[in-house]
Amino acid sequence: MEALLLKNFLRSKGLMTGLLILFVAGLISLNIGKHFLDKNKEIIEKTAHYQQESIAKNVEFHPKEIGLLLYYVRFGLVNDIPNLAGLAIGQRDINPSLQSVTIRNLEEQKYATDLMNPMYQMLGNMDFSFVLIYFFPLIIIAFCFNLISEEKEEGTWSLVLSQSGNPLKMLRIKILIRFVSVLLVLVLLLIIAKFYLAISFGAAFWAFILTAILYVVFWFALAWLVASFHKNSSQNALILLLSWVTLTIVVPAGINAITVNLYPVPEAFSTLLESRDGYHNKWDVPKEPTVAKFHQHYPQFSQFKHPEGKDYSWLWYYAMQQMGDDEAAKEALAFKEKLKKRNAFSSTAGMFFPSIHAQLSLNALSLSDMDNYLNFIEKLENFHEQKRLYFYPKIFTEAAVSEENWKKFGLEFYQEKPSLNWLKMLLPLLIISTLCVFWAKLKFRKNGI
Amino acid sequence: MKKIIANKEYTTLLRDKRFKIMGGLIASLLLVALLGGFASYRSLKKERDLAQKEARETWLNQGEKNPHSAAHYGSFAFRPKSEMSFFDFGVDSFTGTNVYLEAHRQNNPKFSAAQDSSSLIRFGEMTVAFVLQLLMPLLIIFLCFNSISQEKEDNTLKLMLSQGVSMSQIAWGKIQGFSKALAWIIVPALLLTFVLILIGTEGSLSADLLLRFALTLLAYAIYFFVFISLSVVISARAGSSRNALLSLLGIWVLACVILPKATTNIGASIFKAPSNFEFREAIHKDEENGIDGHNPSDKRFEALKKQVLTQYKVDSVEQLPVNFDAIAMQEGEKYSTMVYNKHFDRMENIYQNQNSVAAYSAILNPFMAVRNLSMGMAGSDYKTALAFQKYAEKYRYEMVETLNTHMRDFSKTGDWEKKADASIYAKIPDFDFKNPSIISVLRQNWVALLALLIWIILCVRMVSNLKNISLS
Repeated sequence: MEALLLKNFLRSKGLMTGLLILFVAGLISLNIGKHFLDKNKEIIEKTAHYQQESIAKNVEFHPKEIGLLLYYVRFGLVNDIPNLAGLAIGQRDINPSLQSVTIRNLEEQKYATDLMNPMYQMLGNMDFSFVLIYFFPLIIIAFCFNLISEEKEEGTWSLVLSQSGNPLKMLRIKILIRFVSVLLVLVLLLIIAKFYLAISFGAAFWAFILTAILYVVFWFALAWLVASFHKNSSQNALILLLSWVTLTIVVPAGINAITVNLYPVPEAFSTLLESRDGYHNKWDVPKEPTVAKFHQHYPQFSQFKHPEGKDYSWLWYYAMQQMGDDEAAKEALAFKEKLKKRNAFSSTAGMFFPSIHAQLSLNALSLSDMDNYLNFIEKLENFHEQKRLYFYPKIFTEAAVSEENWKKFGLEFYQEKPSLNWLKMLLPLLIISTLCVFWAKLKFRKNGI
Repeated sequence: MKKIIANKEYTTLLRDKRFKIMGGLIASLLLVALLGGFASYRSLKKERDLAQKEARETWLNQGEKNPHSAAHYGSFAFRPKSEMSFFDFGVDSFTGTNVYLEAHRQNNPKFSAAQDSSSLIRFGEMTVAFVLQLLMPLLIIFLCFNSISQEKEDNTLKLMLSQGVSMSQIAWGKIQGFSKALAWIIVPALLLTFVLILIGTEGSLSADLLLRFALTLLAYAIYFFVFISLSVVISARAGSSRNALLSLLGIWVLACVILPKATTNIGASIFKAPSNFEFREAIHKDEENGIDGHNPSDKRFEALKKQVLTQYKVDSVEQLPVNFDAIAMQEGEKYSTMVYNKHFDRMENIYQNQNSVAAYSAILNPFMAVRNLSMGMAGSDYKTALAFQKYAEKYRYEMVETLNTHMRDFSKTGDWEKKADASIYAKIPDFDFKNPSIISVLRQNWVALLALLIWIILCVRMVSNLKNISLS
């Protein structure tokens, strides 16, 4: 019987076309991922080159005052992109993976965005995760919606019942063949991806593969459950497609709307305003209080004083810049906390919905989620602070520009390790799938097969 | 006879459990999307209006300053929410909400909603437009897929045809009946939309807004008509109800999920856009070497000095009755703005080419047509965002120009300390951006309009040309 079922499946044009469509869509998505990775690599290489060039040029133009020179010099920090991100681009196309900052006020520079076509961003990348989350279920639905009903509608069901000792076994083999065929396409795509995108075999990639497989398992489990209801083909298709619409379209949009309304972020603007006023308003007020506040922040620089009676000193200038950050610090922190809360809420709510959970897990593994961006911003703050601490004493002592080895300031890289919480990642998918299969079992028993 | 069929279809549909459950579901989603969208529209509008007022007040009350210091202090431009944007968020969540306006620098708009959100936002946003564009067709398909195929399977079609009714009459009757039943879901939602628009504008409805609303209605009406007639036609031609359902679902997935994404991705890969870094670097190079590459900034400076000295008939900058620094800054501002605009327009051109692939696909895909029109009418489309950005840049330039001119006339070269009277700030007008008129939106969306027209004609012909032969 197994051989016959397999033959039947292999001969079915519709099913083979389905697999082919899946495979081609997967290949296209891999190409999009590759393109994305290449483009980013190019940007990073060019920027690395440009940074050296521009520092050299600035040193040539402003050889006398290191304070003036550092007004111009930009230092780049790269949020390293693992090749896995080619499979799940996530928010990486919205949040820049490279930030170049001067040692001036950070708040004004921190949330700089890339140039992007918003229409493109709205529709998003057709990356592998999209194919997996949206496409695979559709094909699975097309494969399984008439598992029993097709036999009934073609009049072969009574034949199966009368001739086969165990009709449930036949159904199991039928769905198993479909499952294995879809799984083969998935694994084949991931193998191609591994070589095409040069993804290294690490824990993150394994977790990615497992999540993808479990997501496919979930949809088969759901199809199995629906088959156990013994409805006609149209009703099955309706139930399955409604589940698809609910899981991949309605619920994510709903949770997003709730998140945004629960945690509004008026801080985004107030940070900006505080930071501007903190810095710019200091130009036209007495200099001493500004410098005093600076000394309060950095007691180690108290020995440097603003020369009395002078209208300008680099100490005073950078103290003003520092005030831009210091006065916005409270708001900036509140803003960051809100973003963290938003993220935590959506990932907790998402655990109950395989589509959301899978997407968020894949993004987290590929370091293209919001957590990664927030960590990067924190790293950028550190990076900026270190540059300040390194250069402040040189500026205040008016160190010679030529004494510094400017060549050593290349791009720096932030490499995050994806945090792997296997249980949290895999368990929700596993539990929901098991529930579906268990419920189906009860149903089959109740219905007599 | 057509009327009888329509009435029969209408009454049975209203009694149908499928219609009650799914219709009720969609109606409640519409309600949630409307109220939720309106609430967030109100809070964002309040937030931005307040922020704009605050920015204006701090600008006016910044106290006596050197004009150039004021130009550095600058101001903010906030993108006002369009009145109908709660209906369709469009690209609003992906465009920056405010621009920092300062001397010497054209900033990109910052703080888009997408930047502040988790990856969930990429699944799409729950708006009325989203429900109407994606879910409504699905409801239509589920209700209509077996409208004629079922009659075929039950052998009632033969009966009807033998009584002398033609196939196309039956189809028209069905379409009428379905439309009437669906109106129970759509009309209340649109009425509520209208009420909310009235509340949002506090009753001061402009003709422009009214027209936008009317055209939105029309676009959606055509869109639904296309799906209803397509479903009925396919139901009439399909071998079985099951096949009809599968083909229709296939069409839906293709038109509403895959093609929009695919066409956009194709557009972006054909027309390559520069990265932010390349964009800024190209501007920097042009500023330094001159836009033609042969007019470096120091040469431009010398030429300007010579010109100003001859103009005032003096030998040195010190003898000038005006502030030469201000003149030089203004020339620099003018030059850099020209360079920036050149590059900005070039990049916009690329984006528009990218988007045009998706826009032209409207001819094949009514979803794209209605999506672009709906966004355009709601004022949440890309062009409106672009108009805001351009307006903000123009405002910035004029602000800096006013301050530079003032500085030129009231102080001498080298004097960076002289403070201007605080009254000069009021010389710069309020930031008051208005959405482009409906005419320009329509002109930009001519493909979508044309597409809808083609689709009506096509559907009418398809229904009218239904032959009785599919009976056998």
